[in-house]
Amino acid sequence: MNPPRNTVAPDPESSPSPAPPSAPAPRPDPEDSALVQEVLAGNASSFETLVQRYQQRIYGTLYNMTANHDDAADLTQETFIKAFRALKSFKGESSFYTWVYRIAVNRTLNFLKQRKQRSFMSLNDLDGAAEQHPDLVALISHKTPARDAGLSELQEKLNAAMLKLSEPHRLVVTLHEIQGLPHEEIAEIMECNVGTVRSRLFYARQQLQAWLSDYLK
Amino acid sequence: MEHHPENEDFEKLSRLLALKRREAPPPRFFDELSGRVMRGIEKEPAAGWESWLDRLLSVSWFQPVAAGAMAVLVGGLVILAVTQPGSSDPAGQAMFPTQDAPTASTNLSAPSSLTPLPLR
Repeated sequence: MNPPRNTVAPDPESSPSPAPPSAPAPRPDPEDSALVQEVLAGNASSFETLVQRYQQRIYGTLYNMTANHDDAADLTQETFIKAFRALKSFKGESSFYTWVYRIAVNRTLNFLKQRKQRSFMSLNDLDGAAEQHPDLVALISHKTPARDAGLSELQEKLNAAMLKLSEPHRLVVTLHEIQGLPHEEIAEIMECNVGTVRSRLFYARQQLQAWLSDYLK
Repeated sequence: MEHHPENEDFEKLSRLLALKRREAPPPRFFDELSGRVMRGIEKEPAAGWESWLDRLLSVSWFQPVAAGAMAVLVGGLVILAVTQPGSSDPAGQAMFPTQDAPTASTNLSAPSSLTPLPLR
């Protein structure tokens, strides 16, 4: 079964956010496995359909891991090229999208090891609807530093806090809190058990909460 | 909906993290990305020996053939080493004359600075 297609991940604890303008409208697409078979049979254009299906989620994850648009764009492209090359080795034991996610995550973790100190942010703009988002209106309408900071400063603080997390913790927060993936799927992607995912998520939330306490009062 | 105290503790944090969902790449980025990926796929197969080697290694019959060839090569080198026991002594060197070092048979009358080996 294919995962949900929306770019903006459903919030596990609140109502789903509206999709940004770039998100494709849902349509009756062929299953991933059928597309994979078509690609293996020599129809490369079917791979483009798979890319279009998952590019936003993969990019979103890599962007939140790197806090840099150019790095995320390059890594997303590399991920799909690598996936195409390795498609023959895809045995279908997991879903295609878990498999691609795994390639993306491994590639990104290697990249981040090499990048180490060169971690500067190149953040994307907030979409036009951000200021109207009910959660954010509620957040910045209270008497907190967030109200004075404005959204872009808040965005920077948030990304800086994310970058302070270790890569595995940042990945868990990205996949669960931002992408909306369930613990079980994250465990599959990270090739660890669900308990590890839960404990990493708990620790990461605690850390973020401490670092962002001024904005959470 | 079931209410978990753990979730309640982090509710504000989750709301704050929701801001990250609103960060969007430049317009048309996603419209162009799949095209870039496909161009990269078309371009890179001829790009280097690595992809050529990858493809060769992915062919199922190639791996046993490669392993066999490697075994033959290693075996051949071992046999060569065993059957050439004097290859490291000066007499052995004479078996492989070079152009720069004329051998005694081709230049017997030429004066030599080499010390002759004692006759046994």
